Amino acid sequence: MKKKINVVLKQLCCIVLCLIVIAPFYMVLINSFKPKAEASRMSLALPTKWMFNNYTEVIEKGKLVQGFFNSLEYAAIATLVGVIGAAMAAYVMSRRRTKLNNFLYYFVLCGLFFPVNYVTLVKVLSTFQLNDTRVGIILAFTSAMIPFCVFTIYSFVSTVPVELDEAAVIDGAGPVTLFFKIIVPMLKPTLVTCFILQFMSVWSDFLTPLYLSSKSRLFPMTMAVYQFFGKNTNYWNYIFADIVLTCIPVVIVYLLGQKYIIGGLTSGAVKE
Amino acid sequence: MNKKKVYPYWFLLVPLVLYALFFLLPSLLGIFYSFTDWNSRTVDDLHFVGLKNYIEIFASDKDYLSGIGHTLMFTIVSNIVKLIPALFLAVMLQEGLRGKNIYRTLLYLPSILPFVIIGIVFRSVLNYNNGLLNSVLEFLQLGFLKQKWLSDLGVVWKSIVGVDAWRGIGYVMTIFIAGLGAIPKTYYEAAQIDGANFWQRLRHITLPMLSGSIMINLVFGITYGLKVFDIIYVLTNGGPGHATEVMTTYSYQMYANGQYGMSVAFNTILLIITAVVGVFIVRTMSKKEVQQ
Amino acid sequence: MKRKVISAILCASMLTGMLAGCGGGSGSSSAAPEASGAGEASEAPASTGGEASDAGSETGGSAAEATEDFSGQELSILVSAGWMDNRYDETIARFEETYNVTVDLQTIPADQYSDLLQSKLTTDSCADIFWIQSNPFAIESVIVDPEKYCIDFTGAEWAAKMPEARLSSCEYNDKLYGLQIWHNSPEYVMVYNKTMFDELSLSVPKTYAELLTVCEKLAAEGITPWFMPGADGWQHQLAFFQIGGVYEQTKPGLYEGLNNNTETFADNEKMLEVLGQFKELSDKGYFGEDWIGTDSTNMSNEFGDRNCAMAMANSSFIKQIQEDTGTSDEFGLFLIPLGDNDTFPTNPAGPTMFGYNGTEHPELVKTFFNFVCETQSLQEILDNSPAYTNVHMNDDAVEQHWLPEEEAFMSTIDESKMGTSVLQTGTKYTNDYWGDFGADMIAYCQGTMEANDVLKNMDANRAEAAGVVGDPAWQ
Repeated sequence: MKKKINVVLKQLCCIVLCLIVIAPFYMVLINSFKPKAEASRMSLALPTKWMFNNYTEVIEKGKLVQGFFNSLEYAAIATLVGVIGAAMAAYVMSRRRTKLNNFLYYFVLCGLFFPVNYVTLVKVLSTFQLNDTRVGIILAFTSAMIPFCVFTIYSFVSTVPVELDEAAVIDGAGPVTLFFKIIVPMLKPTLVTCFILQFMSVWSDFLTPLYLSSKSRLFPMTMAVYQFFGKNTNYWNYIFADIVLTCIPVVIVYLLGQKYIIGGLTSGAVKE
Repeated sequence: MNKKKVYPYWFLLVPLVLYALFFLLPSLLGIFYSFTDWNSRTVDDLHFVGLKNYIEIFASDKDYLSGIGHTLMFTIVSNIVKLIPALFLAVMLQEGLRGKNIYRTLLYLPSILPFVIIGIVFRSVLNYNNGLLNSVLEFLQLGFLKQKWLSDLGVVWKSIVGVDAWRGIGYVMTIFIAGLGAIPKTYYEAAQIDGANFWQRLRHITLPMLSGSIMINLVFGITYGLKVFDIIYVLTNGGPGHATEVMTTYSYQMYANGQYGMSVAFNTILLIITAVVGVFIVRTMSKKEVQQ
Repeated sequence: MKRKVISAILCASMLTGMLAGCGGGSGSSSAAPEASGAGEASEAPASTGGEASDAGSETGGSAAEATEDFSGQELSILVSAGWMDNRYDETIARFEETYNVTVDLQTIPADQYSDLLQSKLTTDSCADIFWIQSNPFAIESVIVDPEKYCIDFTGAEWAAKMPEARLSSCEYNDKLYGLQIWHNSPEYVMVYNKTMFDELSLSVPKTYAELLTVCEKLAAEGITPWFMPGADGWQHQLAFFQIGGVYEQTKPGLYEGLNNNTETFADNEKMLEVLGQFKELSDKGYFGEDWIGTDSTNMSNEFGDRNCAMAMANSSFIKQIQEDTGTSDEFGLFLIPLGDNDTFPTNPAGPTMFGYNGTEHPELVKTFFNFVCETQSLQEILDNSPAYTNVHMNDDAVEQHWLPEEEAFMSTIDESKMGTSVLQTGTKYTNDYWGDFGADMIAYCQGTMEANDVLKNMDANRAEAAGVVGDPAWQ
């Protein structure tokens, strides 16, 4: 009996908490279907009139299709390059603990304390003629995620038995084959975690593309929301519809990869 | 096995060059500027001014020091508010509760939202007259709990910490769940046989076995707290008045006013504090482990 | 062991750093539109500009000699959200068609705009045309070095179309740099629900004492007398700055003194009086129960629901209330009566466009400036901006759409009360500290700051700005 009450209480507690978490999501979603003045009340009531064309309007006015593909390009390429590159580096630094490697490891550590400075970043990029290009934006994202990825992956590499490497080398595998055929599959949980977290953070960052480009066709999807803010009047119906559309890709990526997040984030560090 | 051949240095080349060139170099240049009179006018004609910017921060009439105080306060309070409930949630969800996977997924969801959106949503939810929170309180006949969530000086920090917890608790919880998963079930079975109650099990099994996860969460939380910017910027932007200014919001304002040198100096102070706290945690943690 | 711990810690803090986004430095994202520019997006067709993939901007580098053949070129425009909106869309589309070029319109979040512009100018990567919120002192303080960054338009065709009053915001050292196409409607005066006033037999307050009486009666009816969106962070200051004329009237020569550093904000009795009145209204709850925590999101609904009776807004806001809420109430305008003010908020400021000197195709930029000043363009711009009832340019061929409420209001104001600009643009460096002053005002209303310290901070900030510029009056 007591146990039953206990379970009911727990369920209740979880349900209430989830409701608190979901309420704002619901608020955004439901208000995205309302007419302008009704949406600015931000109530939880159902729309008096369902305005599905808020979405078509937003896609057209905000140039969301172009923005979507820009965001996808930045997030996918930068994250892929960043994670693979960081994995290669972390793997070598972890497996071969020479003095130089240890130094380089701590050298990359420093990255976590430093704030981003866009003005100097633009200056550096323009000396390489990379200002205002997609390559420049992607490189900036990639370099910024390297410290994080290196460290998450570094501690994970040591959980992969060295015997695997030895066996592969005896079978005649070169370094590249060894890494991509043997090591990468073993690192999959942490690599996926890094990929998801970084993908999400690149997706929601609009400042970097903003400072590094002066062409609106390079702008990411997150920028579009600002077009619906005016001085005296904000188009909340459009703002909410835009938020829904901008969040859908991240939510999908999260839901697809969420089972890896727990494992990949901590296994290296939690295991003593 | 020839390590040189199996683990070639050229694997390091691309990531390190990118990192050094496009991340570290611009940041270091930025710190260098904190010792100059860099502002919107002197971009091409910089002068070295030594510690002038730093002295100005500490000696100014404007209460920059309160920003440092607020930063430390937020760091401590927000961690308490997130870590303890998250621990209990994790314990609860770790036990065989029906639907726990759905709960986990949902509770994590807020941390993937961009801050801009959190700001828009919560400024509306916390509105005094027609915000969701006060309406719900009224509906539940709890009208006396209604607050001016974002403007009452005694409440505004609580609101910020609350929204921050809404966003962050799922994340902290997830890390605890991972740690709990690594504790062998047999420990609890043995404790059950000995007749240990919930609190005894928590005190003697869960907490010691979780030290790894707790440490990660603490470090996550502390560095996040010290660097906190977005959540405050989107909710109050340092207001009402200057009641919720932290170091990063001051730094941002200086940047916006074109006082780049001062702004970078503020960031550098923050960097030093973060580094000191980081070293301190590493020290205490490693000591503790030696004792064990 | 130890190394593992360190690595775990650093890994962890790294993670946090990354997750927390940019911890400091150049800021982050917020949606608060700031006190500049204006306007609503119209229902006009979406922009067709800024797409074309074949933008060969290299061609015709020196177009000056050619017969103005710009085909294939791309003109980029950097502008803060809300300054252009959709009202230029039609004109831009026509421009693209006429010259066979593409226009790349870059709309930037308002709170990022000035940082971004500064960074683009200093790194020599600016768009062909950029905008600033100009006032008679802004060219110097915002653009810093107009000779270096701006195309000199002195003697351009369109100069004649610029009203005399607006030229001061567009010129620096007798050279013409900017083009300001803006409206001349009363901005940020009191909008009030006339029907409601009539029902309660209230008359328009002309002095602070009358305002108090009106507020008292409205509050007794359970209506918020004066809707004040303090959480926006930029609106409540207007109550203090828009009545600049009354400070000058009380102490003639004040503006000149403030610009020569012989006068200060601090200890100015009229200013202290106005701040005191503002706090009194706040203390009595006449701004609403939680004005500091309320933003303008729901402002037109509050009017439509008859929850409030007055607010500081533009004349076009009346149209917006009626469109948003379908209310049948009538509305009117009167002057902000704080400090017994009777002066009109004349403001030569407005979003202004400049040509970037580093552009690859200066002739195209010049052509664009001429193009938007043609009568047809001006008419399109006006017709596509529902928020504006007129366009303030010397062009009688443009058909203006003045509101009856506006005309009624303007007819009550004596020409002699329009001579002084509002405080924020009539005095140097003041506007740059708009946000700081607003925060201080709220601190004062909450009792954590003294009124005179609010004013002293403004003096200190202005001195700082003057120091950066090297203003001789502050040496």
